[in-house]
Amino acid sequence: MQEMVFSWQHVTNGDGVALSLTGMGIVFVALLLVSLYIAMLPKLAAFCNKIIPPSAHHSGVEAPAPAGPNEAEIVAAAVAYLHKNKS
Amino acid sequence: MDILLHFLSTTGFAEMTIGNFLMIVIGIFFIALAIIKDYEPLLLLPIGFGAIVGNIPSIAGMPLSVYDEGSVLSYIYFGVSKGLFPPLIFLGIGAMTDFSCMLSNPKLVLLGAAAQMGIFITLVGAMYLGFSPAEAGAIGIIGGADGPTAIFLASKLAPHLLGAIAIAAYSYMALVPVIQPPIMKLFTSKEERLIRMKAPREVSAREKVLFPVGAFIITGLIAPGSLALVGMLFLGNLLKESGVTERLAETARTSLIDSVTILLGFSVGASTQAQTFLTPDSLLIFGLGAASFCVATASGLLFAKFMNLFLKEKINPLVGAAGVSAVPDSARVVQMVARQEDPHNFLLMHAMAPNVAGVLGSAVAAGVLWSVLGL
Repeated sequence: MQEMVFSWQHVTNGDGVALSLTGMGIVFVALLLVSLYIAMLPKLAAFCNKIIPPSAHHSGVEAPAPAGPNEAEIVAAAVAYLHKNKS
Repeated sequence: MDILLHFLSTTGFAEMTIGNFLMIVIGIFFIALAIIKDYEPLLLLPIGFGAIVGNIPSIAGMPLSVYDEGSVLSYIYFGVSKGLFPPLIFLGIGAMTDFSCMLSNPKLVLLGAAAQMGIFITLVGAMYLGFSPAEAGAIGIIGGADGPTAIFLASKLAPHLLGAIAIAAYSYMALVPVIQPPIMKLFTSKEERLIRMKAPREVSAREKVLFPVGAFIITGLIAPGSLALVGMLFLGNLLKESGVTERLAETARTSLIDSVTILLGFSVGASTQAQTFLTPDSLLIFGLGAASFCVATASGLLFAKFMNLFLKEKINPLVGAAGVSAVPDSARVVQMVARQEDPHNFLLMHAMAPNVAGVLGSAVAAGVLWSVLGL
């Protein structure tokens, strides 16, 4: 700062108001676009899941649920069947 | 005897000025704030100690201070003066930030944009006070309440004001719990503070991976000046969310960010030599910084109230105050103020959305100001 003179002239000389409004506008547009992108993310994620299904070895990405019954369920069903037909 | 007299003339006592003494007292005050009041201790402690180191008078002819070419401290300060440390801090922030709260409620992102008004209104104020447009831009960014961003932009637009801007930015970040609550109560009614918000939805891992890539492309293309900051922020977040680079993410959010924080805090503190720091400009910068921070908080609150005019599911306007990017302090303050009215109202997760959006917003604002004022 060269001199301590408070004046609106400094603002007009440096296009301060236009600069301020333009800057605010750009930040708003940028974050509005990010916001719209976020709103689209669930659909985009679903679309990606169709093309590249999530793989189990990537710990950060959820693995698809197993299609059939697991081992414990099979054993439980077998025990229940045997118990029912014991007599 | 001559040797002893010569030695005494080279001690710090001989060259000590009242300004140096005052800055040493300020350094001790920062350390006390960090230890006793627990205000931003990770930053205020190294800054405070750095201020003491920087104000021990140097021996003439010996390269000792951050401003002496070839001194050890000048090499550490290189990371600040050339804007190297802030992007590394952003890498760590990205690796520790969970954007789920923002991804589950995208409209809250706009509150992060609204709070950046403080930056641009202060820019006009600084120009009115006689600062050049570049200096005004660097001062205005204090309102973003983001220390690394303030340092990054000041190093590009007004390196001679870097010390004052950095100290102002970190001081106000530390004072978030003191500055924000009165403004929050002033601009909201009791009924508004009692508003409860719906629990955020579950966000899938795939969404979390897609977010940093897409959001970086959008913000990077709009404001290429913010590439270093935003790029590192989203790289850090991708390291965290990809699930395949956990080791790198762990390093970024622990060892790396801690090391850089120590070096940044210490060297910023050491740059506050009384001869360059205690000037009328610094006082004006502190005043403008405080104004910027208050305007930013008020802008977030008022924009939340404005959004409520159009929303069926109202948002608690307090979360607008978290649009300043002091993560996570301003979100915690929102939670604290909300619980004073209703102890069962949990706004922390909702407030984190504008809070992290504010980080992004202030980085974009810095990029815009650098591209417009730095060329």
